[in-house]
Parts: sequence; structure tokens; C-alpha cells
Amino acid sequence: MLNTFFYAGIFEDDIGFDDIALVHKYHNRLNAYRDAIRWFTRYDRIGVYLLIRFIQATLVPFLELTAAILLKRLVVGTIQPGSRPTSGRAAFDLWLVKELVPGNSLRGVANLVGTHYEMVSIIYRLLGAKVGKNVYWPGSGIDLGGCFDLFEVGDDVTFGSRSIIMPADGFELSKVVIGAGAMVADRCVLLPGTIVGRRATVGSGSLAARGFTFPPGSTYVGSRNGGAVELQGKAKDNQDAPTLAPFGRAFYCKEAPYRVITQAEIFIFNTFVAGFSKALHAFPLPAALMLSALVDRAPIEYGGGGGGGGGGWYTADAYRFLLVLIPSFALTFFLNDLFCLMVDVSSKWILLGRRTVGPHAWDQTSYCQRWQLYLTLSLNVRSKVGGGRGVLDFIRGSGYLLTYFRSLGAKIEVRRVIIIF
Amino acid sequence: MTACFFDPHTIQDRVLLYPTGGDPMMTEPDLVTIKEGAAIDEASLICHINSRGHFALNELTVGAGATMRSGSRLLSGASLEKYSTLLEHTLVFGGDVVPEGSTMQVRV
Repeated sequence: MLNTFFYAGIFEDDIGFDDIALVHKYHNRLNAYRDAIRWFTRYDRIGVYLLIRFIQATLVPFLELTAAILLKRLVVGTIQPGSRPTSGRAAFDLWLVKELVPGNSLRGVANLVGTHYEMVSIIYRLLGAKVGKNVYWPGSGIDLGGCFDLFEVGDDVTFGSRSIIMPADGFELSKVVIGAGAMVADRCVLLPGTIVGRRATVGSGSLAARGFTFPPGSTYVGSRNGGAVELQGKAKDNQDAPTLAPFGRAFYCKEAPYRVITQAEIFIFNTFVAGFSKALHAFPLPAALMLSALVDRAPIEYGGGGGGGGGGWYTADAYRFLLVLIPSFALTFFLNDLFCLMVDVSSKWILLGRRTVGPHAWDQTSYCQRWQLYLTLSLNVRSKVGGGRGVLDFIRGSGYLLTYFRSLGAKIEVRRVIIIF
Repeated sequence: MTACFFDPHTIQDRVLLYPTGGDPMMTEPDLVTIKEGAAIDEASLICHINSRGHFALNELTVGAGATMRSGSRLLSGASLEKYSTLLEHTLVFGGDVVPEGSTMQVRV
């Protein structure tokens, strides 16, 4: 039977009556495939195709998040603290919220409105969290496992990236509270019931055991024996001091020696970058099809080899087309990835120049603002290429990665070989 | 007598970066110095520190022949001296120097 499929184009006249229906089905599929290719190789359609991608990246996240917020508020209401529900309505509610707003991206909206800023606070509030003003959210977002109702953040809190905050574990659901002016640095783990006092610093990699309280003004770091380690030598911060951080002063109070970008501008910039990147990453597919059609138009236009003249595709036509298509894919994807890296590297030098050592607080220099613009551009453009992986994943461990980091200014020592004749 | 400098890119520089990826790899490459023979697995080189919003940049140095294994991190301003090794998940504080030839696993 397999041979029948393979050689249907050549031996159609020699096969039995029973197989004819199957061969027709096969031919219909082959022709549907040919028609799809023909659709993509029309130049006037490429714009529509890229526009669809743009809208998919910019409009769809808002529609999804709006629906998720409405469902959460109408169907679930508020998730209550207590022991973890294992069945019934409470368990369903917890599961539903986790499904509605999974992971840390707020259904992709965080990337569009700016991951660090007030819009994220507004969304968290709509989802049930209690959030103060001037919060600096992490670039990576926070995965609360659906427990937005059990999350409380005070004014002027600063978050580092890649922390895990879990108001719910296998045993209980318990509020995580972060006091005003506190800092939760990168890669921290806050288990259910954690309370971070006013102006406390939860340093890099801190582990807060279930129900742990960081006293106001204290400084902790890392994890040892199941909990974070207090830095004893560190003088206790004045816990009553004002909590306004340089970021809040610059971004929300506009007290900075440079023009602070507005949230509306960030939204427009991020949306354009996200839509453009999505369209850019989708481009190699139609480009490869059009390139193949340019190289060998015959199979698409006429189909049907073998002298039949019926206009349909035979297996041989599909193979003939694939023979050109596969190298075309390799070429267009490669050029696309190369272009992404070029956008990344050139925008670095245009926006940031060469970095300098020293303080770069939000209210002193415009560095952080420019860096955030660059991060948005670079992360959108070079991540999620070629089916979800980033461009750099294709060159990791290789000399090309060294070249990439060198082009961004890294000093990676070169072994010079000197041969004297 | 003729001195001939080979193109550095044709003879590979014996520096290994992120063979299994990195999240993130380097956030400020222009402040990073990596000497010959260093190997960095899935570790992060982060030159910034954002202590309660007081953002600052410092340089990072990975010495010749030094190794950073998975999950190890140098905080802003730290450095690894020649042939030192950071084992998995080791965190080195800002300004600290890991001495020549030493191997560390400090899970604070």
C-alpha cells in the first residue's frame, strides 16, 4: 500500500479499482497542499499574512486578559486563605485562575505595557491583589500560581527578576505580604505566609520558609538550613525613613535631570516592537515559499507532471518542489536570525554606547531608561525565533557566541599565535 | 624574519560560553572580561546591582582557566582569579575575589 502512495503518480493506470478511491483522496490532499503554497506565493498576500501576525502579538493578549479578568471576577470571586482545597468548588476556583492567567506574562500583556510599570500594578489589582503605588515590577514577571488574592505589595517596593512567590503550596494558601519600601531581589523564593517588613531587603537568592517574617529594615541573603541568612554586619536601616526609591522619584514624580519617558510612550514603543518582532519571525516562511517559486515556478503554476495534463499534483511534483523549498528555508531562516542579531547589536550601541562603571540611579542618569528600551527591543527581536527558541540558543557554546558578545563590547581574551620564520 | 598574527577567529580562543544556554547569559557584556581558557556553563554574569532602586554598574572578571558551573553567579564587581572554580549554585558577593586555583561551593 505504501508503494501505491509513493508511486501513485506513475502507476495510477496499473492499480486495482479498490485503490482508486484512496489515490484520489491522496491526490486531493496533495493538491490542497499545492493550493496552500500557491496562496503564500502571491506577493499581494504577504502584507495580510504579516499583519495577522502583528495583530496576533498586539491585540490578542489584551482580549485574552480582559476575558480572563472578567471570568475571574464573575465566576471565581475571591480566593480565601486556608488549607489547600483538594476537591470541590474551592479547588476548581484555584485551578481556573491558574489556567486563566498562567505563568508570569499576564497573557503577554506585561510585555506590551512594560513589565516594570504602573499598568502591571493595575492588572494585579484587577485580578485581586492589593498593590501600592510606585512599585517596580520585575522584568521576568511573577508567577503566583493563580493566587492573586493572596498577594499584598506596599508602596515603593522594588523587585528583582526570576523570583518565585508562592502564596499556595501543597498544604496551605496563605497571604504573602511585602511591606512598603522593601526590596525582593533576584532569584528569591517566598513560600506561603511570608511577610517582608517595611524597608527590609530580601537579598539575592533568599529562601523564605513558610510563614517567615523579615523584620523591618533587616537584610537577608541566600539560603542555608532551610532559610535565608541575615547579614549581621549590616546596620539596620532606619525603618521609619521615607520609602520613595529613585525609580519612583524619576518615573512617577518626574524628578530627574532628563526627559522621563511616559507610560503611553512605553506602551506604543513596546507594542510596535512586539508586533514587528512577531511579523519578522513569521517572515522566513512565506519568504522561503516565494523564493522557491522564483527558482522553480513550474510545479506551483501547472502541477501535474507525467503528461496527464490534468493540472493536479503528483508525488514527483511535491518532491521537486521540496528539493528547492528546503534550501530556501535554510537560507531565509538564517538571514532572518542574522538580521535579528544585527538589530540587537546595533540598537545596543545606538541606545547605550559603551557602559561606564558607577552609579546609574533612575533619578540621576537616563541609563536605566535607555537600557529598558534596549532590553525590550533585544529580547523581543532575538527570542522566540524558529519555533520558540532564541537566536542565541542556536549558537551557544560556539565561537559565534564569542563573536556576538565581543560585538556587544565584551573583553574576551584572544590567544594570539605568533609564528616566527 | 616575519611575524605573522593569525586571525583570532580562525584559531578558536579556548573560551567556552554557555554550552547549555543561560538565563540570562550576560546583561552588560561591555563590562565583562573573560580571560583565555575560561569555561562558563549555565551561569549568569550580571554587572548591575539594584539595591532598593539604587542602580549601579561594576566590572566583572573571569580569570584565565576559571570555571563557572551551572547556576553559579558573580554579583556585580566580583572576580574569579586564575584557575578558580565555582561549583553549582555558588553565589559570590559583589567585590569578593575568588583566589587563584581555589574551588568554591558556598551556598549562603
